[in-house]
Amino acid sequence: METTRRDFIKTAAMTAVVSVAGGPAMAKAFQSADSIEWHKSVCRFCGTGCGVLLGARGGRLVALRGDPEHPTTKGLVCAKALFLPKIVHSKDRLTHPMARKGGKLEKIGWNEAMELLADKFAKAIRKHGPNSVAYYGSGQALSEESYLANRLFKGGIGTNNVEGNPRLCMASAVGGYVSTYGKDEPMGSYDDIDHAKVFFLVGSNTAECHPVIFDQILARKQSRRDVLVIVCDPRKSPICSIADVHLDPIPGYDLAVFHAMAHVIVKEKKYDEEFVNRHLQFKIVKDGAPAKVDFKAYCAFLDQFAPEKVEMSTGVSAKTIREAALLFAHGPTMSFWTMGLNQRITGVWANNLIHNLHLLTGQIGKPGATPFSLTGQPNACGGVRDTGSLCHILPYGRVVKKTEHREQMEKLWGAKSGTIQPKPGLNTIEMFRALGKDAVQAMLVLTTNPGHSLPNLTPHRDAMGKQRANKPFVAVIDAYPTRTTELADLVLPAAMWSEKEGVFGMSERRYQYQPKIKEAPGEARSDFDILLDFAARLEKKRVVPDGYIAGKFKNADDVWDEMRLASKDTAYDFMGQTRERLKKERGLRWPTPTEDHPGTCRRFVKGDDPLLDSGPYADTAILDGDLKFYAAPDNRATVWLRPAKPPAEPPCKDYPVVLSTGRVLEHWHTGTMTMRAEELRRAQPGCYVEINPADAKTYSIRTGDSVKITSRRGEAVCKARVVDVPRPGMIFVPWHWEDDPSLINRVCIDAYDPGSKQPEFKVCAVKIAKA
Amino acid sequence: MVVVGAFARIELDKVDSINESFDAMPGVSTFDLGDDKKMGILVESDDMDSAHRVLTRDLRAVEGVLGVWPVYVHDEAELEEVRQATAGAVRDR
Repeated sequence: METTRRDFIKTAAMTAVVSVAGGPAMAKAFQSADSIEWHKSVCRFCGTGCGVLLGARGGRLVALRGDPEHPTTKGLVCAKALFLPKIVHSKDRLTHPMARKGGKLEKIGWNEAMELLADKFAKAIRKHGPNSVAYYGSGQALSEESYLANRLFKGGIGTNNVEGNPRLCMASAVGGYVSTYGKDEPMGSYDDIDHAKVFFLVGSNTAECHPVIFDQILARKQSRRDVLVIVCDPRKSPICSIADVHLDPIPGYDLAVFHAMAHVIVKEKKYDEEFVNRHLQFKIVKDGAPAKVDFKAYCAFLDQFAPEKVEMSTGVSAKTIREAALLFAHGPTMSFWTMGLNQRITGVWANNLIHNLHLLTGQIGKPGATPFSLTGQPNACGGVRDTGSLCHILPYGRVVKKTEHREQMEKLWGAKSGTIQPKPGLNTIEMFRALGKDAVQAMLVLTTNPGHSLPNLTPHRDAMGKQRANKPFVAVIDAYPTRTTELADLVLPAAMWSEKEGVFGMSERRYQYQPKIKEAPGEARSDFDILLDFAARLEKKRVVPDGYIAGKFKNADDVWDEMRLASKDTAYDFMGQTRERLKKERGLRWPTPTEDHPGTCRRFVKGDDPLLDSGPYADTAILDGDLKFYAAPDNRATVWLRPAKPPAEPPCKDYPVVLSTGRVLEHWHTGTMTMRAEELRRAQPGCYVEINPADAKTYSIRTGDSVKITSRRGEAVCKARVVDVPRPGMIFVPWHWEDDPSLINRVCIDAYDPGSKQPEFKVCAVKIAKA
Repeated sequence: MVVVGAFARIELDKVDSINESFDAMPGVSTFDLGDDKKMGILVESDDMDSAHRVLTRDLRAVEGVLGVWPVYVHDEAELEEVRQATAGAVRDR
């Protein structure tokens, strides 16, 4: 019987592979081949937004498969996703509220927990004002949850101390889009992959961190001999296996490389003169304010970055820069980037310079030609960026600084005029610094693990957990025990993905609905439900106006309808994405202003972007295919003349090595989920440091040796892997492991980009020695 | 018993050497996907750890393999756990 059963399973496995890799024809037959109930949903991990089919039986998740009918990911998922059912059913899920009593977390009831939470916040607000409380959310919460928390804190309590972990990963991309085009989010989509002839992969280990996108790039490269790949990364990550040109700058010195590419494009007359004249403006910051300059001045500015002049400072040969520039200009070119650009004190500027290359060459708004930032979390885009759940913004492209925008949101939310403060609240690093100085007296942390993920971790962990007189109150909502729950005064057990319903918005502006499929374990409740309860109690304690939230929303559907209204007539308009429609569709890309609009593949392009046909951005004078940057000042995108500023902490005599951190294929961020799949944990059981063979020789380190990594802030210890992957003078450490010797974020610097406020995880100076 | 269905993207001119390398790996067999640039793969092993190692390390290490994507995982041990946990619910239906 075993042979027969094995053969049956093998056939099922082959059928599944054929259904995904050989075409969708067999998918339906395969899905109905067993008694499992299948539900359309979205993967819980990165921002790729892979469509999945979740298999449930008897109230449990028992399987996950890629959804072959998904329009962009077409049935593919990565190895991590396949373990999601196991992760959801992890035996150590949090199942009841806990409060710290006598130094230990002890089980309490929900009413006591929620009263404690509301009481601590109300007391802080009454005694110290609304800015003494703070919310730290997540690109993993549902859109409705982030929107509700933002609404409560900014329009109800009256503080802009609303932040989230996208500040650590995507804020510089936001800054890049806004300063270049006037509004956040990419204009292109994954559809462009099928049209691009040149891929520019910058600071992105796409093969391990976005494997499904990497497959699509590979498929495109395999389909035509003239599809070429430029990689820009100081580390030879797995994507280098398909690179035709590899730029490997010294970490932190790539801005000069991008300018040098622009210099070549200009000198070789490979720029698009008509596009430059019609659509662009050029700006430089002078005396702290942006000032317009002309194209000639831009060209003169670029002269200092001639490839031969930057060879020494960047570590990249002039020949390679020239080759990359000419390829880029040939196009159609699609750029992908992620943390290598964003996690820098020059993150916004680095983003600007990638946009500069697209704008100069006109490689934008055409099939296969677009800049595109990849996102690390499943709902950083839709949940936090779009809903305005950061300290300086409001929903759907509005900012707290603009009176008109505050008034619009106060009206929609039913908040008293003047409740939303005109000054941005505390950004993430400043928020935790303020917590450490007891200036923030109560903080709510939701679906994220700052006790592991913040840079320069030690003082921020102390801020959250070190016992002291007048210690602030920290409440954490999570599904699992983490390095943050161990510091909390109150822990509230949360429902996990698949245990609640709502929307995720992924990298290409696609909003996707995920259903509730099973009940949460024990007494765990959805974050949405907890936030509603919290708001009602704050109203009773009269620190939030009566009826501001309580009674207005019964469920996430009601909040979604208000979100649609908030988006109306903005550059994000998704009025046409009704709940009913999202439940049926495999997601929709905004703008989607009407219920019959199919979604937008390319923004700012007449004939594709519906906002150019009707509404406040409509323009009947331009022709189909024409581009209009309608959200930008004067409808012109900006080419920025940015200085090639070095990193905050370059290597020096005492700390001669550059540390860069990142991810591996098997794990995701702080490992809260992936470490709960035994197979994934065992596949990468411990932290390690990649050391170039030349450096290993200098320090007499061999593979397997314990290595101590020390910075001005702290130290970590992990095993050495001597590999020709990082550049000489650079080490690379993945940051997933939570045990104390491995917590590499104790070593990282928390200096941040002055524009995006995103910390420089990618470059800091360290010394290394055999432990 | 663990069975994993996967596919690999491969370099066209290395099909023969890839097949040879895969054939030499215990528990690995290949099948045609009707596309020269892709290869269907079955990995059979006693436990998930070794299946995962083959999938994420061994197959990728072969020259000419550009990437490997798992599509289907069957883990008998895990299924037994689920069977026990859902026995009541299934009977009730």
